[in-house]
Amino acid sequence: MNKKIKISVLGCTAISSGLAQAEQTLSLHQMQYQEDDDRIKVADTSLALKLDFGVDYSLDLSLGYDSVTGASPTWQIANTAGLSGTEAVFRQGELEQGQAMTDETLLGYAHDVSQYQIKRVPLEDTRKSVAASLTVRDRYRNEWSFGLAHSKESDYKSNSASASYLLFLDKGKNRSVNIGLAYLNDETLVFGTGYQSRTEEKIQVINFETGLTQVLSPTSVFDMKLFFNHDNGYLSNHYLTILRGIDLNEDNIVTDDEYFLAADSRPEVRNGFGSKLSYSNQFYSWLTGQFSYRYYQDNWKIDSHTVNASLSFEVIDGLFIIPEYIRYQQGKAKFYLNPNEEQPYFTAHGEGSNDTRLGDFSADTYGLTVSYQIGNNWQLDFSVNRYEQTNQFAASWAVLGVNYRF
Amino acid sequence: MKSHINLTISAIVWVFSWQVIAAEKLAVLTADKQVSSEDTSYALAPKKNQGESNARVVKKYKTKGRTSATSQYSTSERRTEQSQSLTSMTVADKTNNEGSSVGPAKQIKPLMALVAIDQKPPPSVSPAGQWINKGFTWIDNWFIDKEVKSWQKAKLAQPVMQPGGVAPAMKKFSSKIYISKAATLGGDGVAGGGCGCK
Repeated sequence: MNKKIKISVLGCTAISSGLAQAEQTLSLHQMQYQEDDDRIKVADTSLALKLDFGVDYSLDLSLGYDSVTGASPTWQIANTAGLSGTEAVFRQGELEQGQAMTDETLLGYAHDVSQYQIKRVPLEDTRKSVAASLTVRDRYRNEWSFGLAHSKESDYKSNSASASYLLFLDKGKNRSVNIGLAYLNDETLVFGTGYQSRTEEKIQVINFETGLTQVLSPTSVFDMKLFFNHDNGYLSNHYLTILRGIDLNEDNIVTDDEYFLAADSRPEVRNGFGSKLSYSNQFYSWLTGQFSYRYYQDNWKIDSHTVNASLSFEVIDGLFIIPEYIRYQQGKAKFYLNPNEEQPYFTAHGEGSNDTRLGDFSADTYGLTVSYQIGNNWQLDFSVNRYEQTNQFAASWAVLGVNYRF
Repeated sequence: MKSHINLTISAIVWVFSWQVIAAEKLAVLTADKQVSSEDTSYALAPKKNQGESNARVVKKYKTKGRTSATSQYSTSERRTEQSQSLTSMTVADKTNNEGSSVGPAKQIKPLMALVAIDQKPPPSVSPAGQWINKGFTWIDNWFIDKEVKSWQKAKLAQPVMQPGGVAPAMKKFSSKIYISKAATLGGDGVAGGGCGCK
């Protein structure tokens, strides 16, 4: 009889887990993002639908639409308006001469290095995205997930496929391993010499991730992940520029009139890896904490540490207030130069970037999320966040969303 | 959320009760059959002895039938023997039905359906899972004081304990911002598309 009771418990456990997941959810969220100094504004809208078919199949669908407006700072030539025809021809000649002496893309030429300035270049773009993911559970409740995603911008197109597997290791379902693989095939339009042409370049990305999840107690769970990213192709940012000194007269001295505006240039291969540790604990029925640490390193010599802590307070039934803090610290890429240095110039050959996102900085994020479940079907989400980097960059964003469960 | 938990708990209790009742019923029916197999005189007995024979059936099950089977045979052997016994019972009962107006006390078809419940359940862990788990038993020794049972996981199943918490959509938006404002990413799953914002 004891054996039969155990069988019954296992059976009802499997069924109950299915019942708990048998829920359809439709979500609509919108984010408003704004950088300080009126640089970039983003309005991002996301519509998501989660469907459970019985206990063995789940389908996640999402649509996204975001618009970007504003201006991004980068090196440009000052006072190009009103350039005489003779001057334009001269500059074009110098540009062609310089281009012949380097494999890197040159975009412009001015008589004197002082004429190059960091200016804000206006930009405007929209991004449309669609993603679908199907999860299939076998008789052991292990899960296969298959995903497809597509997004399109005016100058960037992305297609991706992913698969992941969640495997339970013990009969109590307290320990599981997961393994996932994604492949992205992206295309971007890149400026050619002197901004006179645009070519289509490929970017291929492989993301691999594996991890172990362990239930430690009825109120705590620990998760460890290892990940590996491989990027291959045109990994530069064609909107960003740098200054290159090219010795046109070959006198072994780069004078002030031998500097060119050039395209941001990064290696064509990037291999990164890292690990993420996560721990969740429900200290009290009204207080739950989630904590994580991530380490990252790649062959561009960039490394980073990310610490994340959030506390969920259930102040009344269904109303959660969630403060969150994230600390991020990053080391600079081997080919990065701070554009605010006295002489942020690169040589005729080799990679180079003034993209501050590749620099060394720390960042703090302060977030506050409020989530309120109204009845059995509706849930409202609201979040405000403040992000500050040590290199003078700062941004704020807010998200408002509604979820309907049926 | 609490109504969902209550619904889930009710479903668990309902299914659990049903299965226990089914298992009990199976046990009694199996005992009937075993006794009938050992001594067909119960099945062939006249109506006036029916109540007495049923009482003896239950008594025999509790004392002899199950005890001896449990102690002498492995689970698989017992199951095989049980199936064979059922098959022979089917033939015997058919014979009895044809030859006697009294007939057997129980129907065979429902019994066969219930026996399916008593089949060995599929292992809850796949062979691959069991094999990989051998490499992680040190976790039990070092970090786990007491195994968490299935019925102790109500809190772990709450959305607030899931990655992303009660509002996972917020994490999607913030992740998108971080990958566009910093140079590193990873550790949050492999699904998702590319973005020119990088």
